[in-house]
Amino acid sequence: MKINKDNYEIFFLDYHEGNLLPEQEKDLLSFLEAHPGLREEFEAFRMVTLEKDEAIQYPAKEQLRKGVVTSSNYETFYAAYVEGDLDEEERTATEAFAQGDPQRGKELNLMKKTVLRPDLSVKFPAKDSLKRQKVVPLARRFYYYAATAAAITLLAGLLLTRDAGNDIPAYVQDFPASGEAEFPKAVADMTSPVQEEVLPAEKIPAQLETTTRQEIVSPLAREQRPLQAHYPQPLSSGRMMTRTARLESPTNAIAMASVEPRNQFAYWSYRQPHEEAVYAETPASGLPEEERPPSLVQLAFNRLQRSVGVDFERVEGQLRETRIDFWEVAGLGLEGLNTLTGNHVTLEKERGEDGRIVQFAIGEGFEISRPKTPAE
Amino acid sequence: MTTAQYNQCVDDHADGVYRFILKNIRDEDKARDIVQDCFEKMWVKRAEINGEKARSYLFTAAYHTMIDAIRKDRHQTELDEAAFNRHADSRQYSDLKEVLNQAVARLPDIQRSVVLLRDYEGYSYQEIGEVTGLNESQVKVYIYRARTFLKNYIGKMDAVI
Repeated sequence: MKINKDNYEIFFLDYHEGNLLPEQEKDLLSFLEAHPGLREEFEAFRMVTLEKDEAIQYPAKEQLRKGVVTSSNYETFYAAYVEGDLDEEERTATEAFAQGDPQRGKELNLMKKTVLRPDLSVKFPAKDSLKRQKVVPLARRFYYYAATAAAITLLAGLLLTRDAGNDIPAYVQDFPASGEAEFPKAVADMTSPVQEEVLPAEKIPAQLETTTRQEIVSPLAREQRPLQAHYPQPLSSGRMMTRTARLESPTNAIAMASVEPRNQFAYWSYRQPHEEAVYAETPASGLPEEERPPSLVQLAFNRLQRSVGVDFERVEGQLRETRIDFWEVAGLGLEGLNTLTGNHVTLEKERGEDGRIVQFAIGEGFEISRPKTPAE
Repeated sequence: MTTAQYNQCVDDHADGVYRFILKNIRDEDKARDIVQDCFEKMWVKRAEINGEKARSYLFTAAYHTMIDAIRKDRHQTELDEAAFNRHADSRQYSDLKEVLNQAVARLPDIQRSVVLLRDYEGYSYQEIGEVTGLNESQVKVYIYRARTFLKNYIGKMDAVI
């Protein structure tokens, strides 16, 4: 492209920006000589180009730098040093900076002293007033009390009946308690779940004749209710079957009529191999303690203990060691109830000097107190 | 949160919250009211509060209750500050702890709160941010500024002591 009056401005601008070839520059200068009236315009293009001012500098450049401790940013490094926010390199740089001048070192020590320590002697003056005790809503209170009464009744019933099951006639001890070895082989080989075995007469206790003979009422009843004993028998599947032994004796009818069925028979239920407990009633008390099957009451205790998480052995021990009264039993019942319901209804009681309970409260909604006697 | 957990929270944190509030507002009665107020709030909302988050909830409630109380009493506080400033120079400083206490009292509210949570309760920047509603960077900046102020204050008083 050749310079002319229509495009000379492009050449002027490119000249000042250094974009023209030597040959084009030569043509431009020749054009200016031929047209001196355009020289002023040519010079005006020169002023469009701005020269940078090296004297202008950012005054706080040090503060922008990272990892370099300077006189303008050292306080930030000191604070970070105390806060533990510096890495090893920055800590070293900060310590080196502080050691470079006594005043800087003193300031670092002052910064270390800014860590505040709480005055542990200052305590909230009424902490107990902040604590809460669960209050059972009125609408639900009846349910809680009814459930508490039921728990108390159940617990008391279990405690009172627990030992009654051990009152077993001596003759029951003579029956084989468990194990196939005590069975006649012919009986053991039978596959029917219930079999009968005739026992010899000497197995029947003689005292039954003398103590209960007068209680015989109906010969027909004797025929319908033969004296029997039930034995556990393991099967190949792992289950237990029950076999029945019939007692044959001249005094059979007398014994049958006089002895309560719960003391007369020993029952074992079917059980699965994974179950640890064998359900039983009136265990043969003549066996050693460790071999004696648990009573139904004992099993009920165990099941209840697993369900509610209350250690009844401990509870029973406490009851035996202390004087048992209604409130003690109520407290134990409530403990079980809390576990069952997931609540935290507390039971508070206060004893007088003679050991008697003078005040008793459940939660915040129920309280009973006994006025002091003149002696107290 | 169960009743037992709530009561355990009273045992574990009532003193800490009380110290935090008392250090901020320097008024025992008001500090006590605020602590009771925030525990009352926690009790009301106990069904929504996880036991493990109880401490954070408690300090958050305490902080905001305190801020509300400070705003209500702003005018009175400014008067107190003015009175304090008039007499500050004539006070006798016996030890560093006392000087530091005076310096903390002079910190801006937000800086005092974050540095107290940091030093008294050992909270992280993030936890302090959750309590105060600030982001971590803001918390960090406020703590750095507070430490620098405390450093300069006790440095200035160093000569007096």
